[in-house]
Amino acid sequence: MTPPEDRTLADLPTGAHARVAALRGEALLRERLAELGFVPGTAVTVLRRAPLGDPLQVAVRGGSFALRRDEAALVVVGPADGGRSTPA
Amino acid sequence: MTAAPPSSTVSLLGPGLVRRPRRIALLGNPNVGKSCIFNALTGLRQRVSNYPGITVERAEGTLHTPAGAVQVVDLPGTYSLHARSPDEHIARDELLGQVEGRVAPDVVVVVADASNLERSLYLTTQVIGTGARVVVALNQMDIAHGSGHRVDPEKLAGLLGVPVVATCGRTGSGRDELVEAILTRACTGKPAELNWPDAVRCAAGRLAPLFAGLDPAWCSERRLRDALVSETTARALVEFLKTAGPDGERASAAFLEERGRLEVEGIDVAICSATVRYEAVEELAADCVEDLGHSALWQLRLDRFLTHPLSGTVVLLSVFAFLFAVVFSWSGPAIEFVDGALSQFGGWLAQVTGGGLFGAFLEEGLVAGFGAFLVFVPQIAMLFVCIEALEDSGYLARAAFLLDRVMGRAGLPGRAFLPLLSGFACAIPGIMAARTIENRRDRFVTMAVLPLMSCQARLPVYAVVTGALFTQFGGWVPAIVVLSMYLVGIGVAFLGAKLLRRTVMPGARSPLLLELPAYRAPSIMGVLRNTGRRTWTFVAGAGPVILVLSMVLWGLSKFPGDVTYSRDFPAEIAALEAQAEGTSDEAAADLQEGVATLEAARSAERLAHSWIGRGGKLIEPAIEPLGFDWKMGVAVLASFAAREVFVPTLGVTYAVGDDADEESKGLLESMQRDKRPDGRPVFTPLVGISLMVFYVIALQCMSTLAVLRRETNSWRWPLGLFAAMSILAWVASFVVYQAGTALGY
Repeated sequence: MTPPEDRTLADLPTGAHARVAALRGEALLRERLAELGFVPGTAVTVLRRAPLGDPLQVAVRGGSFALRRDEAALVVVGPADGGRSTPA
Repeated sequence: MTAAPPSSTVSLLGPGLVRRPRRIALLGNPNVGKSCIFNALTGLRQRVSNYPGITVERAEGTLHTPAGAVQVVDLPGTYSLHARSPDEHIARDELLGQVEGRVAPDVVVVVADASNLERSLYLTTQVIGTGARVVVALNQMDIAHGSGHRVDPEKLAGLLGVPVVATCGRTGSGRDELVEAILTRACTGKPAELNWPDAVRCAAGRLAPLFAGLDPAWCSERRLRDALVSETTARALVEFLKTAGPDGERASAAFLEERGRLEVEGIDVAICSATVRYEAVEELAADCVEDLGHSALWQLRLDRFLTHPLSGTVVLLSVFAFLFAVVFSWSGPAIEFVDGALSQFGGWLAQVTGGGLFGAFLEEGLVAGFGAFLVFVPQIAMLFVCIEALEDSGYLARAAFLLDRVMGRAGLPGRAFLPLLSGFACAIPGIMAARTIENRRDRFVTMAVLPLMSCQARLPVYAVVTGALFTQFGGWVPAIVVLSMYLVGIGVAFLGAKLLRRTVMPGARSPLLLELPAYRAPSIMGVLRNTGRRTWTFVAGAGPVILVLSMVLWGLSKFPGDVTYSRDFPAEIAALEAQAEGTSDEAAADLQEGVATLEAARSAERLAHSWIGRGGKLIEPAIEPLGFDWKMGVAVLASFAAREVFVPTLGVTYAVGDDADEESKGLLESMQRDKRPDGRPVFTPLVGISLMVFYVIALQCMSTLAVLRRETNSWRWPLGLFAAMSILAWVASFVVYQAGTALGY
């Protein structure tokens, strides 16, 4: 089984709800994602995928963003009902 | 009643303001309708320029109020004051008064999106945190309503401690209240209560004494907390400390150590600041947003339809086909109008100035040369209208979403598609449309390959060559030949983009984090204003260079003027004209034609003798391996100003007159008849293909070069591209001609 902390936005099926658990990747890109609203604890929904499976359209904080699979794979997610994870 | 006393201006000032604001700044996330608010405030009193050294547009305007004029600056859209891109740097530096030669604005108007409130409040609370005097324009209430949210401006104002005015940028409603708030009620707000982790608080507390002797901008604990757990701020602080001597070095070491310690404690030091702020923002939003219990079904359905693999693709192709039709067919009358008006004006100028050399200079060099550039302005403006409307409606982002994967094969972002498509009309609007590509490297690669799209100016070249050389094969051959030229351009662009990605602009595409904004009806006034703004930028930016170059080119084709002709043209013409007197109409017409032929032959001799004609002969050895003779050399040289002059120049060198066009029978026949000294025809189908391939690839357009210079802010790019594409064009034509010859064509 895939350990839960390795599940990312890119792995979610279309239509799935989840919550951001952590961000990976280069620090500046992490901050950019976070400032768009992808901070730990945020509810996200994969709305759809573009015709060739990439990029993804993701609903977050009342807006929606297109992310390529490469960027979506930086957003580690947990179950939608997992409640808020508070930063340590 | 007497006139209002002079003191009335003072009475307008509220208690929050020390003095009437003279300079205000507009700030907001992208896609919040900020430019609509800017337009509503300033009307037509706008000025757009570039910030020195970078291609970030600076839009300024004047707001006229009963209390006097207020300068308004429209800052680039940004999600955060943590600046990573040049746009974001400008927004932050303007806000803090750190742009050279400018002071901080007296009031910051933060344009917030009611339908996207948390993201807007993220930026708003940052701005309030700087201590600036703020007014919030709460925009897009209608969209928020539609998606089932009602935002209470008064509650929000209470929470933020600054005035909040509900506005609708598109209808202009709320404008007067906004102006009133800017003038009388703007104030410093309550900084958001950020719930920093204890470890961060303690670390900042430990660092503060070390920073006490340094720049006060960095010593506050608030600033240090942010720097500890925001990647952007941390890097800026370390950069600053490098310049602060031994104290800075010590502070820097301690700062990095504290950061390391926080990381060990499990805090993500790149994003913790954003996390903490979003938590605060969530609470604010929860207190002032009411859930109406419905959602914007039409938005969701429209999105599903427009991004569906099948219907989305059909719509996409239709939209682009429509765009093409607009540019290629509908702009025809406008182009003809400008063309007609210009030639009338040129003729009038020549007459007024007495028709001498100066008159010819004005008519042929100035008006006709510069006119070749002006003729495209209506077409470009129409293209801008379409692009602005698509952008404003929210559709352009969806098109980029659909096309991102396809464009990725060439290493280009999805956003590059529209600029490239515009390139089939004219490279210039395409290059300017490339501004919608946020990342600089992606944008430069797009601009570099864009001139390879076969623009309208190449069509006459293709038409003449296929008309003269390929119609003999009949059927579909000419059409297939022309189509292949378009495909050659696309293919070279594709390979070129890949090559640039490997060499000059290495690395993968920049990450895609593209907001897909809510759909909305584009604001007609906004679209027209932005179109006017962009069109003017184009004319003013590229115009002067083109003006100078077209005069130079005219000079090169006219001088030296002391030609020793092979025949006595004036005498022969006079003789024919004398004959024409008193003969029958029919005979006179024949004689008139004889005069025209003589005059054309004279122009041809003069051109052959001119600098550019000599240039054609000079480069003949270099272009011989491509199958070109000196006459084509002249046309190719002249085309480096603009491809439009290819057919007229060929017309002059073949002595059929300079009003030749692609339907001129005379030109086509002369081309077919022309023989080399050894008796072989000059124009064979192979030469034709070699010539067209050259035109596909070579960057023969000074307008494009001028716009490239403007958009990249350097001569390095346009000149480098010019050299590279000229060489590539030569090599490609060489390969085509030599391979064709070897194969026996």
